[in-house]
Amino acid sequence: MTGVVARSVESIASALRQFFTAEHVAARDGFLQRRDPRVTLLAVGGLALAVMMTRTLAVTLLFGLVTVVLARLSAVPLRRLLARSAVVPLASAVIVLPQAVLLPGETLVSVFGFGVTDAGIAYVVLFTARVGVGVALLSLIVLTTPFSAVLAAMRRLRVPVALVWVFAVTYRYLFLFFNEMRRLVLARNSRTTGADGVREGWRDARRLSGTFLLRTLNRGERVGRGMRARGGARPPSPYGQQRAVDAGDYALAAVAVAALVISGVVRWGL
Amino acid sequence: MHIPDGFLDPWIAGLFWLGSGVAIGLAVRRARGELGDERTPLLGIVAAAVFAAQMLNWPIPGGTSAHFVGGAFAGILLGPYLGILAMTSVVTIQALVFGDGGIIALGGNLFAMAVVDVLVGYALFRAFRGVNETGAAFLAGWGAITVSALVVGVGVGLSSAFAYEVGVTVSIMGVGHAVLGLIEGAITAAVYGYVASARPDLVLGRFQESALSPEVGL
Repeated sequence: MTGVVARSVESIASALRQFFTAEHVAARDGFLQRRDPRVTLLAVGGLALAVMMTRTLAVTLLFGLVTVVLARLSAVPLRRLLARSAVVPLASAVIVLPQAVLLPGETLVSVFGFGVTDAGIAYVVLFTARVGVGVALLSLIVLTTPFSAVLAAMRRLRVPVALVWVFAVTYRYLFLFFNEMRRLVLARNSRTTGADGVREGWRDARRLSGTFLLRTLNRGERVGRGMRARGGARPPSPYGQQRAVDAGDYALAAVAVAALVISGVVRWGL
Repeated sequence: MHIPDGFLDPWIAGLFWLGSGVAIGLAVRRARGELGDERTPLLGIVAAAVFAAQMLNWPIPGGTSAHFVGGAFAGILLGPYLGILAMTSVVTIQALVFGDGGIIALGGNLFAMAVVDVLVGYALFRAFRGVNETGAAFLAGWGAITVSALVVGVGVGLSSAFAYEVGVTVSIMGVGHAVLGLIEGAITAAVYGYVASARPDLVLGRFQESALSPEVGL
């Protein structure tokens, strides 16, 4: 098994690398790291909503600048933010690129007999910029707010406890299972030689995923028995931490509200 | 399938949030009744397993690979309500831990991958399992991913932020995923066949109207 299935180890390693990089940045002392996670979620969500509302490139770039400033204040390396945020907007640009010739407008240049219009170019640039800023804002949350803090925020935002429990347990077991899957693939790979065809690859993947799922279900049953032996489940207390909202939180919330107002006024002239 | 921020208009994203909020809220209520608070967290373990199983690369002709999405499989194994909760956990962690999709578009991603994918997969499996179980699992995987893609196509196509008309987005997403869905269907059938042969007691409704083991099932 040296083919596609064996490359699963790379997928797992890549996911883990992303995660540990984010945890490393989130452990630094910075503006967003010091914020109440409720405020971070709502304010960055508000900024993302403002970006989604706008149809003006200048406003989009202004929000992009706000994102960069937040990243700098939060000790997020700009190269890392760019690396995380570049792929999706570039793929999005490719998707909307035909609009450069499809949208009616003044023809700027002719390519293979198709007229590239000013309106088309403006749309492609605006769309790509909006997607890029949106992805960068989500990356800011990922890079500055550990998921345990997000879970605490969810609880305080009155997300049903049962749902927060499911998220918490998924998160808690995720890396254990990533490791288990990686070990299964490595163990199988170390016992086979030569390149596999598609048919053999499917047979291996079927066995691996089936065995893996059965193992994890067994583990779930053991965890259930362990919980009952300890007297039943208790609320996920580590995620119920209280935190006071400070001036920095209000400032971040004010920036988000201002962004929403600016976006609305520029678009609809409210 | 993950929609990033920027593709959906705010009102469409809001409708998706509303739809997924109602469906997930109902699932939470039903899951509490069926599992009890005590066993609800165990569902997270199954969600983590589905998430990790997505990391496995399945070879497809031409040297490239595909991976398991798992919504239909979660619906088949857990039933509709627990399946929705498991996939809600997967999609939310994908967004907030790994940065897949978007924060405003998360409602749309939840609706497509945690609600529609699970419900369509479950419904198709229930409808056709009497004919042939493996065939029903294949149909569930294929149909669920195709219908989810159509929902994404409608949402994106109705958004003025995305310049293509809804007819174009629905056609491209529908046809593209009807083809890619063949792989998801085949993976779902393969994994279902393995699990069902090794642990027939886990399979939904095989022995009674129950799913999974007593610890994590309905």
